[in-house]
Amino acid sequence: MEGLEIPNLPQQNAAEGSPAPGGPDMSDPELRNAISSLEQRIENPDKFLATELIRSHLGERAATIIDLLMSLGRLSISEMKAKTSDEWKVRDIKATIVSLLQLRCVKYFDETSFTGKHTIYYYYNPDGPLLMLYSGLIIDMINKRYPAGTNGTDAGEDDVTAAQIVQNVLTFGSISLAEFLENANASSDYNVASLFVKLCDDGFLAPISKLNFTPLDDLWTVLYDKYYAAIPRTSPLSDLRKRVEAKGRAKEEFLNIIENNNDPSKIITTDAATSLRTVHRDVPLTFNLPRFLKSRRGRHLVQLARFRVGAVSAKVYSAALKLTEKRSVDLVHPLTQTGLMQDLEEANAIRDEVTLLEERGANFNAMEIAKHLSPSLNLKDSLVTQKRDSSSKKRAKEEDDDEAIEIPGRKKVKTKDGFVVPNLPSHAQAGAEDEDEDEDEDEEMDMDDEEGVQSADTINMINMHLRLLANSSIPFLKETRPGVYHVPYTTLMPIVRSSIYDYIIASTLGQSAMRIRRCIIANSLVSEKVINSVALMREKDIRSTIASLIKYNVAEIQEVPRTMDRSAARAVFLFRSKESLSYSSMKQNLEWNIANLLFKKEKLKDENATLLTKANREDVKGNEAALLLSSELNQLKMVNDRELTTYTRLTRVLSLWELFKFYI
Amino acid sequence: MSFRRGRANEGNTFLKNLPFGLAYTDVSSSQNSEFPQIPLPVNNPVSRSERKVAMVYINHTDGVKNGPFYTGAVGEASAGSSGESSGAVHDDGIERYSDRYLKKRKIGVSIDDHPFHLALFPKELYSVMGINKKKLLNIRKANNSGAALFTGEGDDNALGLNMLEKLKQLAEDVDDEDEKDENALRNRDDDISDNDYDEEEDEEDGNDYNAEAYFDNGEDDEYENGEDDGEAVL
Repeated sequence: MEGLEIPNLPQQNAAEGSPAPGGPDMSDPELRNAISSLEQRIENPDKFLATELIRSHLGERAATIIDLLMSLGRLSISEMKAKTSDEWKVRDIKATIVSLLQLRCVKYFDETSFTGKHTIYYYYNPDGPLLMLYSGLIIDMINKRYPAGTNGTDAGEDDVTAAQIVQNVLTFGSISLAEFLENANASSDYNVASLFVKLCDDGFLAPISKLNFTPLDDLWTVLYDKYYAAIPRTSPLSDLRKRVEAKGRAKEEFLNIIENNNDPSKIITTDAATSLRTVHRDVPLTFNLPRFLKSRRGRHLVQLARFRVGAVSAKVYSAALKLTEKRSVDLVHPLTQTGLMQDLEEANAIRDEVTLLEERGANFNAMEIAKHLSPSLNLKDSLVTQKRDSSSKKRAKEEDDDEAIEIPGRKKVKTKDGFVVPNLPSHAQAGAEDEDEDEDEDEEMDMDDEEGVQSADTINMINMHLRLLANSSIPFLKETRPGVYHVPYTTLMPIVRSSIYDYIIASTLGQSAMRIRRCIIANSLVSEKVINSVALMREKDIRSTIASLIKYNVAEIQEVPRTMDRSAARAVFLFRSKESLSYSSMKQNLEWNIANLLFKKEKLKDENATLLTKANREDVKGNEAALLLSSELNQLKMVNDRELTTYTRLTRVLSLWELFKFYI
Repeated sequence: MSFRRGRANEGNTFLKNLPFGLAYTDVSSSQNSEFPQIPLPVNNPVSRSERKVAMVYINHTDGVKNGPFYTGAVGEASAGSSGESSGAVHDDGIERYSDRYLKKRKIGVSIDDHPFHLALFPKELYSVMGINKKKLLNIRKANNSGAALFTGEGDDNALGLNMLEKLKQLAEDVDDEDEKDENALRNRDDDISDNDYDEEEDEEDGNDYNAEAYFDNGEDDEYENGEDDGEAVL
C-alpha cells in the first residue's frame, strides 16, 4: 500500500537475538506489536472500529471475543474456547458473554441440529457498539430536547432529568422503572415516571425482548421454513408457487413481530393510585437507536436546506421534520436484513412500499407547523417577491413607463457633472411600493383583531416557505394534496449523500476532482475528449486528476477493445462512476479514521498510564493541584485536552460516516 | 538507416514502456503544470457545544469502564478466583502502601450485584451469573408474571401448565444442563478441576439457605436425659 512502510521480514540472525542487518529489531515487543496492529487495521475497518470501541468501554477480553465473532461469523462457547489461548477458561468466556449480552453487543440463536442436539450460537450484534459510538450525542440530544424542568416543576426541584435516565439506560444496557427508582435519589417518583412516559411516547425508549437478541436473518429463515413446511406435500401448487406463498406469509408475520416489539402503547399504563400515566414498573427498557438516527437524518436535511434555500426556511423545515419524525419511515427496512434484497424484484417492491409509506404516513400542513415553531422566529419580511418579465418588449415598455412615471418624492437628480442618477430598478421600486402599502395596511389593521391577522400572516408565510422548499432544485418536500406536504426521504437522501460526497472530494482532492466526477456522473460513460470539452481542463490536469479519482474508487475505467486481440494500444478507455462502490469505500475510509482516533486515544492513555493511575487514586482525585508536580499537571492537562480533541474530531467524522452507513 | 531505425525503435520502446495515457512530459519531474497544490482541510478549534459533547462522551466511557460489566484484560483475575483486580499499572505481585488508594474493580458480575432479566439470557450462562436452582425458584416467585409478556417468554406450549409445575420444570432444565455441561467438559483436560471445584462450591452454597442445616433438635444432647458422667460442666 502506498505510503506504508512495512519493514522486511527478519532474517535468521534475529532469532538468535541480534538484529538483522538493515532491518528492524523484531525482538523489540513494542515494534512487533505496532507492526502487527497496523496490519490488522488494514484488514477490516468495521472490525477495527468495533474492537476499539469495545476495548475502550469493556476491556480487552470483550474485544477479543468480538474479534472472534466478527472474523468467524458465529460460534458456540466450546468453539470459542478452542479458538482462544490457554489462558482463557470457559468460565471467563461465559462471564464475558454475559457482559456483552447485557450491553447488546452479542446476539444468540438456539439451533437444533438434525440429530436433535441444541447448540447456542453467538453472533456479533452491531447495536451495542453503535450505542457506545453515539452515546455522547444521544445524551446531548436528549438534554436539549427535554431540558431540566420539562415536567413543569422548577429546574431545582427536579433531581432527575431525562438525560440521566438515558445515560443510565446506556450504561446498563436496559433498566426498568422499578430498578431506576430504587437506586436514584429522586424527590418524586411521579416525576421520574412521567419522564419515562415521555421518552417511551416519543419512541426513544422501547421494551427489550428476545427479538433484540435474535439475528433477523435466522428469524426469517425459521418463519419461512415453518410456512413452507405447513403447505402439504400433496398440494397441487408448483414448488415456485409454494415458495411465493410461504414468503408472503413469512413476510407478514415477520413485520408483525417487529411492529409489536416496538409498540409503546403496550408498556404505558395508568397508575391506579394517582390516575397518572406511567410505565410498567418491571419491564426492562432499552434505548431505541433507530429512533435517534431519524433525528440525525433530520439534522442533515436541515443543514442542506439552510445551505441551499435559506436560514429561515431551514428553521420552518426543522419544525416540520421534528413534528413528523416519530411517524416517518425507518432508516433501514427490516426486510433488507433478511437476504431478500438479492432478488431485484423484492428490492424494488420494498422500495415502492417505503415510498408509499412516506406519502401516506407523516403528512403535515402549515397550521400544524405554526403550533411548533419557536416564538422567537420572526417570519415577517423573510421572503421577497419578484416580478418576472415574460418578454423583452414588455420590459422595454415598463422601462419607458418607469421613466415616465415619477414616484412622488423621488425626482431625477442631476449631479454637477451632468450625470443623472437613475431610478431604482423595477423590483426595488416594487419593494418600496410594497413597503408603503404594508405600512398603510398596518395602520389600518391596528383597528382590527391583531392576533388573528398575525396568525393568518404567519400561516401564510409558512405556506410560502413550504412551497419554496417543495419547488427548489432539491425536492425537500412534496405536496401530497394542496397545502399538505410530506418529506420524500427515498428521493432526498441519495441527493444529500451525493452532495456530501462531492464536497468531501472537493476538500481533499480538489475542486477539479469534483468537477470531473460530476461530469462523469452526468454523462454516465465518458471518454477523455468529452471531459476535456465539458470540464474545460487541460489534458495533463485531467489525467492526473482522473488517476487520483481511480485510486480512491471515485471513478472506474471501462476498456472498450477495438481489435480482436484486445490490444491495449488500440483500445478506447472510458470512465464511469459506480456510486455504490464509491460510497462503500468512502464509508470504510471514514470508519477506519474513527477507529484510528479511538486507537490513538487509548495509546496515549497507555503511554501515560503511570500518571493517570496516580491522578485517579482516591486520595489524589480532586486534589491534583496540591498533590501532583507541575510537570505532571501539565502532562495531565495535555492528555485531557488531547482526549477532548479526539472526541470532537470523532463527532465530526461520525456525522459524515453515518450518511454512507445508514441512509440507503 | 539502421541507426535511424534503432533510434526510432528506442523512441518507440521508451514510449511503450510508459503507462497508457501518459506522455514523456507528464512523467518528467521538470513539468510545469498549473494543477494547484491542494490545501488539505484543517480541523477547526473546538467549539463550546462540541466541548460539551466531548465531556459527555468521556464521562459515559468512564462510567461504563468503572461499571459492573467491565471484563478486564486477559491476564487479569477472573471471576472464579479472587474476582478483583487492582488498578495498578504493573501488577508484579508486590504489595505497596499506595495500593489501598487504588481503585479496585470487580471483574465479573453476578445476579446479586445486578438485577439481570433472566429471560433474555440463555440458560447455559446462568452458572456464571451466580444462579443455582434454588435462587432461580426464588427469583421466579418474586418476579411479576406480567413482565414475561414483554421479555418474549410467552411460550405457547407452556401456557397451559400450572405456575409451580413450570418452575419445577425450569429447575430440572437447569439441573439437566449443568449435568450436560459437566459431561462435555469432563472430556476436556483443561477444565476438569475447575468444574469440580465449581460444583463443590455450588453444593456448599446450596446449603446456605437451608434452614434445616442450622437446626439442631438436641437429640445428641446428654443433658436432657439427666445423665451425669461425673465431669464438671464449665
